[in-house]
Amino acid sequence: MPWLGGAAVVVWLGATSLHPVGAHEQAIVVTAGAWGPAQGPGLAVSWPWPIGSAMIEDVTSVRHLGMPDEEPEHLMMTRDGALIDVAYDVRWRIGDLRNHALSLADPDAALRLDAENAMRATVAGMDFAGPGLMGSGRDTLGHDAARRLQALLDRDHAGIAVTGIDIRRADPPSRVADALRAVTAARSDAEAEALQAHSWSRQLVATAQGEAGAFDKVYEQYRHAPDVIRRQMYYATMERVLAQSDKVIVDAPGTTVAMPAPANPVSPPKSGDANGH
Amino acid sequence: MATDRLDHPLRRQMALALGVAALAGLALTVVTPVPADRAALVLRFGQPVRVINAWRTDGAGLALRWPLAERVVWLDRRLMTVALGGTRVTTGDGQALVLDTYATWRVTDPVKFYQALGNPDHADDELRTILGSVLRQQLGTIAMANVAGLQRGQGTAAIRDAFDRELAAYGAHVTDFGLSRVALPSGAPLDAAYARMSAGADSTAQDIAAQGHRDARLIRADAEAQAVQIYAASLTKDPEFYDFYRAMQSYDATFGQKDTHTTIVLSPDNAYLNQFRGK
Repeated sequence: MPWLGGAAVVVWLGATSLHPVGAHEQAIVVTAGAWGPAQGPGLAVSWPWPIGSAMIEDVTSVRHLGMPDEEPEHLMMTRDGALIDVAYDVRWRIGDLRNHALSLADPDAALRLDAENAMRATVAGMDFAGPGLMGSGRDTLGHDAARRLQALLDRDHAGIAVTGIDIRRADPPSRVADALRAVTAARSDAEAEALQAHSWSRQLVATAQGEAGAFDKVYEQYRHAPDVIRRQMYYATMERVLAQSDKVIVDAPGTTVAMPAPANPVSPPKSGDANGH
Repeated sequence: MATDRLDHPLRRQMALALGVAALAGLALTVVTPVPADRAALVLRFGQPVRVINAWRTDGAGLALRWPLAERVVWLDRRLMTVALGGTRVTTGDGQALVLDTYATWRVTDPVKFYQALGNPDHADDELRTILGSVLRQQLGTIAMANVAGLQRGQGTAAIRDAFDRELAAYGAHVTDFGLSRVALPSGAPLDAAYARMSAGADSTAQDIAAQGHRDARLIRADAEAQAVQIYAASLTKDPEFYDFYRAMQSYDATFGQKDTHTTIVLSPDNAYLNQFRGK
């Protein structure tokens, strides 16, 4: 009997006064309601229950808060009066265990409200159009909101460290999606038009270069014997031209030539002193 | 007998156990552990007499009280959050808005707080009502253009201070005030916002199209100018020869192609026929 009682006492002491604290955890030893400092991993020793106890919390694991949890569209107002549908995840961990437990009656609710406040404040400071939320502003939104959220939490000494905010969605509301698609379409049309103009320009310049280059080359040769080359070019051209044409040579000046009807251009005309080949 | 032999020590042990239990019971009614996150308001026959571990004091640990005569009302010492959803307000320039707001507050004077609100469990409803009326009062004077600023935290201090002045009578202090949602009420105001966005997008699309046309025109004009420059650089070397050279090309193109069937009337004086006459 006495050894059984002794064993019960030892078990009671061990179970209620020794508290193993894991590698990710911190502990606060409570003695009759009074709180000690936060202590790191190892063994925390308190008075046995009911005098003492220990509060152990994970302080390194990153926790997630998803906003919004059920609403399909989560609309926020931008500086230029537009609406944008934003969904995001807050990554956070307990930064200071004592503050986390002692500062706020409901840290989770406070975090949720502060996160909304911070995100709306950030969105309200940005424009929808231009380089705003539909452009480069998107990339900084999460970062800016996280910084603002941290400031709000620190004001209350919430003991929460915000690791980051991930934007899951930052889109225009579905009711204006069509109008915004038209903007995208106009933008790609304009790009296509510019490409086409560039291509046309390249062709035009290439043609000019070709013609000018050809002239330069011919002119280079022409300079050596202008008269002869000129004659040569003239006869060569006339030969080609007249070989493909019907020819009429009118001997006396002032003679009227009856031309065949152009409706039947295939039949060779046989009038005057036609010198057919 | 056997019972007699066990009887005597067992009775002594039981008496001892009873005594310990009675002492422990007495101790529990006299000694009260006050946790760090609570303030204990001690009432003697219903009258508040003292506060243990109030805000800005450090009284956590064991506290003594008279049994039966004194009882403890527990109040949270931490910051509490009061959230008020769906408040409809109208701004100074007539825009209807739906606001979700929240404030953090704490009990600074437990006696005043207890006397004003009685059971602290009911405090939330009371505070929400006060917050609502403060909001309507404060936002009636703000212009819609400043609501964006309000969302960004400009001017929230005024609302916090107004709320704080109201709560001073309750022995509570407001530390922060913030907006967790600013929305346009569904119906006409929301439709108007959507229409504005669509119209904005339409005009943006038209602007982009016009700019696209302009850019393409300028690109072409640049190329034309470049081509002219190229021609000028090379053709001005001998304009007279160019005239001849280009005329030859032109004759080739217009008359020299196959199946053109042009009829050319030549005078024997034509330069081409110089040798024809056999002069």
